[in-house]
Amino acid sequence: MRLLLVLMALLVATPVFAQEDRGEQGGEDAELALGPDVESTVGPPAGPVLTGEALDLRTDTLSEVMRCPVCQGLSINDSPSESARNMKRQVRAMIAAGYDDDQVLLYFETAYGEFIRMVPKAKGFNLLVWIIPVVGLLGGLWLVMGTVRRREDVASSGALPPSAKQKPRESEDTLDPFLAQVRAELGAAAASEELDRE
Amino acid sequence: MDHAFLGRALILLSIVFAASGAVVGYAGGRRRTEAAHQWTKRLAYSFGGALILANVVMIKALLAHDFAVSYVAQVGSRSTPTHITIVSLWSSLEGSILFWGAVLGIFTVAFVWKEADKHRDMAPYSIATILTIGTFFGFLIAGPANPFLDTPLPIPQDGPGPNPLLQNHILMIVHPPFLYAGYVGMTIPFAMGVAALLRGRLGAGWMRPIRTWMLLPWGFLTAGIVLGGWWAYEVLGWGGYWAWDPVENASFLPWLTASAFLHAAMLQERRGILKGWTLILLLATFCLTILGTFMTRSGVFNSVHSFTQSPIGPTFLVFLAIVMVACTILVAARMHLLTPEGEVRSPVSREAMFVMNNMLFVFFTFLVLVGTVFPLLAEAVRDVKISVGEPYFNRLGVPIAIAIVFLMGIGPALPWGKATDKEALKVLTVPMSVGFSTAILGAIFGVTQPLPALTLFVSGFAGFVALRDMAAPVLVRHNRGGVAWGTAISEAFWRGRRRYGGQIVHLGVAIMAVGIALSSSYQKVAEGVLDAGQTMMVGDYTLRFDGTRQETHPHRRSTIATMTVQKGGKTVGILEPRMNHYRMQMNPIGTPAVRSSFTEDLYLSVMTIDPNGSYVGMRAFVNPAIYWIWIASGIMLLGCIIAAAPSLLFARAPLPAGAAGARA
Amino acid sequence: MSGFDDFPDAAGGGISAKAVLVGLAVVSPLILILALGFGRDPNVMDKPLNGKQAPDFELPRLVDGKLTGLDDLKGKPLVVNFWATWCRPCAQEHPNLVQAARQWGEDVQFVGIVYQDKNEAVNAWLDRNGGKAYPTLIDINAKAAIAYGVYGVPETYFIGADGVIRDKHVGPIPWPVLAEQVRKLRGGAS
Repeated sequence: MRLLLVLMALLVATPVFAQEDRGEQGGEDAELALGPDVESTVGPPAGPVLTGEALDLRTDTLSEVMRCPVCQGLSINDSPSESARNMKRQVRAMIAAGYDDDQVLLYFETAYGEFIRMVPKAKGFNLLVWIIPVVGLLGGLWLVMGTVRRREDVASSGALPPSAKQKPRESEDTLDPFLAQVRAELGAAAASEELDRE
Repeated sequence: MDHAFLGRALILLSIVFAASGAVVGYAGGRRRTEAAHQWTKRLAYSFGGALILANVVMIKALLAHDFAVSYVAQVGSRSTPTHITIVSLWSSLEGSILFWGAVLGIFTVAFVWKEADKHRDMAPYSIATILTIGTFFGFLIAGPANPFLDTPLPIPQDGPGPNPLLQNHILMIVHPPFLYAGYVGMTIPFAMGVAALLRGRLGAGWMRPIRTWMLLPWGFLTAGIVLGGWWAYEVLGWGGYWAWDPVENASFLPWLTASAFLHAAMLQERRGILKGWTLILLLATFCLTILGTFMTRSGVFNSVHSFTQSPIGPTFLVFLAIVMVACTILVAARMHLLTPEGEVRSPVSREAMFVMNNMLFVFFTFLVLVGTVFPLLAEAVRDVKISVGEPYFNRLGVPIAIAIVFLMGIGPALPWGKATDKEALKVLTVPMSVGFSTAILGAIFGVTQPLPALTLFVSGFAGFVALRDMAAPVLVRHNRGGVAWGTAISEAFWRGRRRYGGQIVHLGVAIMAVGIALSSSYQKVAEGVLDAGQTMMVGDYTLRFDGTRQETHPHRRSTIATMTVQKGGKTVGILEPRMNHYRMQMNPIGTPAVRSSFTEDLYLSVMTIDPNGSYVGMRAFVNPAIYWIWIASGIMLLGCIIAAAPSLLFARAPLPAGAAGARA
Repeated sequence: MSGFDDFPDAAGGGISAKAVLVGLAVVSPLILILALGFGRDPNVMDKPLNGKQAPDFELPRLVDGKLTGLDDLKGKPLVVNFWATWCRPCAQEHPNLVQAARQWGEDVQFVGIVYQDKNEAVNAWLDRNGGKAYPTLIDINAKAAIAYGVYGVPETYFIGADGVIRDKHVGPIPWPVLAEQVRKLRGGAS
């Protein structure tokens, strides 16, 4: 399909796709500097202070579930855009300072809204997005069981619907348990392939 | 030559042909006269011809840079290369709907030519249905999405050119036509289904041609989806190929129901059950293509593919509603003809596996649909924007997909009818062991995460079943019948080609599942800023930045980073990821460089680059098993061609001479 | 080849009401939900900070690098404009902001925050596009922008003297809109 940047995107210079880092790069200190008002927004750090590989791993994992607001539905971990990388830096800074996942998400949510979460908070109305599929799956399983079991009851009770179409299949059915053996014989192998011919 | 006027005239003609053809077809279908049949055919050919010609006119206008035509003024440019100019036919909304018309025209002509005289009782109805849909699209092209309007004066000397992303990669040229062929092609089997409902001819045997005409767009759609993923991978720079974007989901939904239909149709053919269900799947597939088009063009969904809201959105929604209600009424009117003629005897049987497979496919469809439209509902109810993204779809969808692959193995392994536990065990033991071995082999190579390991198990299991099913008739012929290998293979193949086609597709699916599992779970990433001469490591590779160079084209200026790739101390290649500045775009767009091998891809994406070559910011990925996905899709397509082509190309298959005596 | 009269049309059986109801039950919610999407632009983001306290930043000034925060600017209503040199609409709106600052700078404090840009480019750009009528701050790694929920430039925030964000404008701000927002900040005086 053809891609067309939305007209709005031409008005607001939102960074999209792979985009150059055009900003001033601070040093390591600037990387880990917490943005404004972190503690006043989310409270004191409630998680462990992480460093090194553990820090990187948690940052990546958390960034996977945060949405880059301007990219095509990519997480800030996946998106190569500068905004996403800046957000990831902030996530990293917060985790390095000891804030836990919920606090980081709350900080971003306060600024950007619920949209920033790739998976909706499982609360209130949002629960439906989880409940509906589960109900659907259970319903589907119930229907399948109905289709399969009910027929078995009918068959075992012997009350087969009489129909001319039934007869040829009947003979194929009685052959079925032996089909594996019969298929070893050339004649039946050809016979079963008959059904697949044009 | 006044291209705009000619184009408008052709579109108008196509509407006239389509509308009159539909009327003649439906009326003629009732009265069944030879004249009606012939006229329906003629009008269908004319409709197709008019739309195809309109597209030719547009291409001519684009190539001639005739900016008096509104669409050319919108996407044309004197500085774009010729092949891109042709491709810009489908680069923007109006042109893409015109292109839709061309594809519909081609399918209409092909269908009428191949099938109209073979099925005279059905043909007028099916053609009339196609033409009704054609009338709608004709109105769209003539009305809200008209590319042939006159550009308001003053006529510009040059235009902005198509979206730069179209100009980055050859895949973007190939992806839309395949996807369109898949989408638009679903109209044909839909029309055949509607014809059968109208005719009331729903007994045994009507499924066969519908199945064939469903295989064709299914194949195109598979190719289109894979090409889209491949393009996203090669061009967008984030190292992935699927993001559960609403428009990606839109293409996936009809694929799922079409796959379910192909299986349900087999079940209906053998057992005479699930007739209504099969029919509903058929109708739903077409409805989902309209839904998908709506999702892409209405501007209602947040997606990179989407356009701003235009009157075309409500038009599509109304059309979708009408189609769905009409299908409901049609099916309801023929319910009495949809009674089953057989039954599923036991849960341990191929039929039961087919039923389960269908349920899973449809559930997957339902899941993707819920996830995609839920944000709309939530926003309407709570007035808050939310997103339902990748983690949601992966968490719920991956287990379903694994279950489907598992069924792909059990289904063909179990016999039709009722199998005892002993028989089931006999046919399942070896494949299960192969599955286990595959998983253990993977664990030895480092695949220890649960979901990828499980995927290896089910893929090994299902893949082996497919191979065994393909080998068995050949072995039987050779060992018991004393037939030479060559003849055994060609005979078995030719007589059972539809099944062979299906098994090859299954093989492809198994391989693709493994590719997807491994590439998702074992990706390695590294990021760094390199000065000239500096190196960074990712996986087993060492990357050295060797400076930049500039390339200037009329439509873009690229800064290219030269990266030398070393593995095990030896230089294995040079990769050149780019940062492109398009003349007409404000933001630069990068193009990644990919080095593909059978086992893994090395993928480099430029984050930041100094035009003077003093530094580059690079993101590097090692993506294992990516190529297996593309190869697997090729295998799936091969299977599709094997299953469909002979029926489409030949009216009747000649019997191989040697098998004449073997026919019971 | 099937001829015309081999298969007569099936005998009419009436329309199954149950099937129609089931069908409509499936179709209607889908159409309804999709229709709900009209009238809402999926690309317009929420403005969750409207009505909340403006995040307190501490950013270096372009001119001398001195760290400046909300405290230094408090007491007056505030107009905070996020922009960048590579952003074409920013160049379009900058003269409006300069004009507004000159006209109402006594009552309302204007501040520009540079987003994802390099210092050298900023000075030149300001000179080219209307001059330096108000302080410009440099936001390294977009920390302040993130706190404010900026997702692109230009974006302009209107903050009351009490530090509460009154409103936010996304995109280049036209003069009438700017004048009206400033008027509201000044308490309705024109």
